[in-house]
Amino acid sequence: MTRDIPDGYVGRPMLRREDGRLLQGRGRYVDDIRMPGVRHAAFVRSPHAHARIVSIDVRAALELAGVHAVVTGADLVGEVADAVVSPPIPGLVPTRFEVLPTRKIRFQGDLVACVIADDRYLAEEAAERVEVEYEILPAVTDMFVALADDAPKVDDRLASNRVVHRVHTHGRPDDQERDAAFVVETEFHQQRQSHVPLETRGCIASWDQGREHLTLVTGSQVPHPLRTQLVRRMGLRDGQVTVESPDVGGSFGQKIALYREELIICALARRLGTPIRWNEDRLENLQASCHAREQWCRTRIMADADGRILALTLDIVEDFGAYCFYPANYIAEVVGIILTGQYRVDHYRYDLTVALTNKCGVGPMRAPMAIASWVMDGTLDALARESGLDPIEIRRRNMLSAAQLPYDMPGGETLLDVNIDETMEAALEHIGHARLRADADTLHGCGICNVVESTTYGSRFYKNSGIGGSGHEAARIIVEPDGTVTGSVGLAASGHGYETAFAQVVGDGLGVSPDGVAIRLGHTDAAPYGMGSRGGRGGTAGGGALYECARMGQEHLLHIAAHMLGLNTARNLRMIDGRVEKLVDGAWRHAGVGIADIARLAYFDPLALPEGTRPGLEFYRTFDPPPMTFSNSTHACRVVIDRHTGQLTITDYVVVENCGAVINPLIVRGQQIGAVAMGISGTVLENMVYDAAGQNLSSTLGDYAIATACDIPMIRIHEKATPGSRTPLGLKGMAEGGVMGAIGAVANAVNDALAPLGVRASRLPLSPVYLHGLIHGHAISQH
Amino acid sequence: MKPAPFAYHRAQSLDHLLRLKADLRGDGVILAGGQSLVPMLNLRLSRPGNLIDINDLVELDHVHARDGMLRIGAMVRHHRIATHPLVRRHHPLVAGMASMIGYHAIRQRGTIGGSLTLADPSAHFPLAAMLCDATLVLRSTRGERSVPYRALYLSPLNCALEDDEIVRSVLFPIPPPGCRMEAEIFHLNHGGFPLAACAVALTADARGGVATLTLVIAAGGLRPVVLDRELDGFLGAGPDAGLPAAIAGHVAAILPLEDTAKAPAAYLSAVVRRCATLCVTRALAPRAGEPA
Amino acid sequence: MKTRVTLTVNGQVHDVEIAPHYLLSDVLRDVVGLTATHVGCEQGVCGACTVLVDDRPARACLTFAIQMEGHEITTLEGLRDDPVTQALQQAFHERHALQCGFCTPGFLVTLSAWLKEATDPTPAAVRDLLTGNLCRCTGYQNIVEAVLSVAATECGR
Repeated sequence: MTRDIPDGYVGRPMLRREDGRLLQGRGRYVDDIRMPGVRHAAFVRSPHAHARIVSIDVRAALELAGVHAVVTGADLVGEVADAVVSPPIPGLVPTRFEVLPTRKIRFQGDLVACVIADDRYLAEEAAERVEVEYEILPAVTDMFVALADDAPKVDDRLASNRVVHRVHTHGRPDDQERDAAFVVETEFHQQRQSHVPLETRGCIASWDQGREHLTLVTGSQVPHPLRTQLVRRMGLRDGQVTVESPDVGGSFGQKIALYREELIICALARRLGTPIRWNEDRLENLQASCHAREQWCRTRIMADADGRILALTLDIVEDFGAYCFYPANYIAEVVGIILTGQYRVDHYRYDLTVALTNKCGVGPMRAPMAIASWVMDGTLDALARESGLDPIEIRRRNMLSAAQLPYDMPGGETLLDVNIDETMEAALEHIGHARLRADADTLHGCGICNVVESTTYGSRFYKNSGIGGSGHEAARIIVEPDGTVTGSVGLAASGHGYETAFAQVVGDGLGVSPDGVAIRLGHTDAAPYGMGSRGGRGGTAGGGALYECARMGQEHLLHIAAHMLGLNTARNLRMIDGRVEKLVDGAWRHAGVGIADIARLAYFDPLALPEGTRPGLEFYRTFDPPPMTFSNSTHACRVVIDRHTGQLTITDYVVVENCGAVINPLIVRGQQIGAVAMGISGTVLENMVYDAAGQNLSSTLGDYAIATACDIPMIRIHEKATPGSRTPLGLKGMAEGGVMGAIGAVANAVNDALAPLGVRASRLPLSPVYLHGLIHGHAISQH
Repeated sequence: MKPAPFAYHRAQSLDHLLRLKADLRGDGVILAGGQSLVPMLNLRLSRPGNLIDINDLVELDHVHARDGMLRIGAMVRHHRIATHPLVRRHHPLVAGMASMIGYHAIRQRGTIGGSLTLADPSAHFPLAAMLCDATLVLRSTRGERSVPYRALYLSPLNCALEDDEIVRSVLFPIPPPGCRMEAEIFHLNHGGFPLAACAVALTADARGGVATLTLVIAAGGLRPVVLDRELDGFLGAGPDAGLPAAIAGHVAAILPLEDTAKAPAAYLSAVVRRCATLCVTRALAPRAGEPA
Repeated sequence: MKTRVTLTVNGQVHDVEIAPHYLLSDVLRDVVGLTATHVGCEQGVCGACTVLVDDRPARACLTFAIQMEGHEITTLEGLRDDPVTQALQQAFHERHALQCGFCTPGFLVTLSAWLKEATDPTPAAVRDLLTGNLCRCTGYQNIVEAVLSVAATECGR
């Protein structure tokens, strides 16, 4: 039996090993985990958007049998430190807030008190009996109003609601105007949205008084960074806390921050000495888990008579809500950095402003920079309309060719490994060139959106942007005494299929069958300290770390094997499917030794190991990716709008994608479709609405509509992949670009359809009401 | 989101139910399919002291067609109405409306009696009952009375049942031969509540023109509006291509629509016009097997 | 407040002590100990808690457990030996029709009942049915394809 070219496991559409338990309903989500003696929490939340807390009377709540504690902000002062967000970033105002407000609440749904009772029914009953007297303050719910000098202040400690103002300039954009044949200003307004994982948040905290150890079971994307925040806030040491993230029912960026609720539960578990659980309900999830995406952008593009870009400027204003769980520049900043994509722009400026308002705090949501592709390609479409030039031709004329890469983007990062010049032409072929004409009932449009997706951010990115933290990832691989393999990495899965894909990576790296590889994730005691799952970093940072770790492991195993075979070098050895093979006369032949033999030696007969080789088979390796890796794609779609009702139908949707080497095409395809679906959902349906008084009008799934099976068209995906040049296996990452492309492709298609009427949609969602108003000239403000 | 405590009563028979209602009066809330009530309880927007469960009452679970009437028991579930051969044969509009309510799982539990007494202004069955001038058979320990639904429906979410009364059955007059009924429901998003709806009953004359015409519109959170005599001007009109739009335009013009949180009046009016146009067009269209 | 209620779940009889306002979803999970039924919204919208009541799909979050005396409840755990469910599970697996898996039991329960009586499961009919089950991960495409593949072999049996 010889194989000259080993068939790698990376690249195969292996079926997911996670599916078995999930399809039987045997997953283990937080709420499935039983713990004896556990007590249940419910929170008292503010019905007002902005109010001073005058008094809190908890007596009636405590009178109920089975209620153990009712805790207010005053009770936790000194026990839990404030959240402090103050990285040294010019233009960013440092902020801090208490774990449980003592004086003032800042949004409807803000925390006022926490009830601990025998069960959740009782806890909610008691919470209703907590009497809170409020002095209602004027609320500010519009970010532009919030930035006015006389606006009510959301955070009394600050001078104003403006928490960020930053400007980045490259070249001399203003000087180009005199040479410009066309100067076009275009606005883009993305509405507030929320992640809506099907599983809401929740946690179980238990404090072992004897060991002085806290265990927090919670669905988290980032168990280790969460632990770091937890120990800092609670005054504990790293080794005193275990964070365990079991099966997670979706996260999409909502399960990154250390929220106040989880922290309060941990503090009360320690104080009361009993395990406590809290299950966020959907009302809480929609009112008080983080929101996302509320951004307004205005571009100003200057172009010559041929449509070549002379300069581009971008103003962004973002609504960050009531509390800063993240540095408030970080989301908008990435939009500014990557905006120009694969277009050549010599003179550029972005100007970021972020405002606090009396609404729920925001955080990253799958593709935090989602608006960028719409803004860039929407700007080019606007230039086309203004100039009369063909919008595709404008894209071609400004496109960087392969020869011009790597390219120092005016936003500050270095672009390489992208091929939009190819994906766009392929997408145009797939969507077809037919021009459908408007009739009395319908309007037709076709939209194109080119996407450069920033996938993995290395430590250099964080250092350069001043955000702090690291972009590296860590992997550990253990070859167990029986010759099976356990791999772990500092990520946490929530539907990603890591257990399957990473077994493939370890299989190839180590030279074993994935069947014998267990992947353990989401547990701070089981996995090495890593930065967790966010952005598109899982495959590249996590898979890359595991692959390099596995390669290191194979080298070590072969070193032992050579000794066992009486060879003085491992140069002509390799491992395939756990068997050592030897190159003999140009052919690989089984050498008669396998990984189980090596493991037996390493663990139970260490004196038989080569001189200087230590017993045991554990490998640890970190990987710090390049500052930024990129995938790219072109999205194209066709839409029909009903003139009578404004209803939008997407009739065809095509993606041509380059996300580099692919570990598991089945999983990657699923992620791409899922991302497009989330993008479409946000573009046409979702809308987190507050009224002028700050009441959340979207706090049930009836009111906050997300896409159903009838809202998402068939999505056709084609590949035009090139490998990443600076990452293990040529991985690049993906799973966010679909959101970016969907927003741009659908919005651009709608504007193509509206073009004959001389109107343009600048706001999302592209609801029937909004589109009807544009078509019939009675545009309606959505607020 | 857990409901507040309540006392639970399971009605064992119609008599038992009537006694419970007589004893508990307004504090005894009927739990039928629960697909609208229980979300309200879970959100603690409603907290009755007593729930009377009628799900197991066979006396309220019947479908008959006799004496020109289709009689449907209050506890008959949407899915059964949508698929019942008698309903499909005698009153396809009612079957069709039932098949469009909410989701599949909701239709397995939701009941016609619950839907009609809830009187949601955008719901399907109130619209159908208004159009067909259905009658509700109401029972209490004091006896039985039959009241036209149009008279019972006072305002959205408010039906004029007495505190001790329950719905036993709904009587839909079986449409005469030649009467066409059509409905058009408009949703802003799939699976959501209807934003506006229109149902029409139309009898064509020998030329294919309009002999009788009734239209019901639900929009803007208003009590569904029954238009009958208001449309007399169109009687005798010939079957010309512009007729549906003319009727729809007239309808939209006389509705007292106002801006709502979901949509401004101008949009509601446009959607009503569209729904009415489509309904009337279908009602006037010649059908296979019928004289042109 | 609490009262004894006899529930029949997956063919097994359970005597449980519950309060009347306890939702069936909570009682199945916390009292009977069957956690395949997931709670996603408690508003009847998401469909993750769908179970069968007397073989018909119902939202466990819109049902009080006390109502279920005298009725047969089936959860995903109880469909383990059901051939249609098994075919669905295999098709979901092969076509990558699940990611986080939280919504999946609700889809399977809904579909297992529906496929047994569906006469013409077109793509449009499948999508229309599935508006009652929300999935935030997959974009539905692989789910629809999985259902159609099962329908091709199971329907009309």
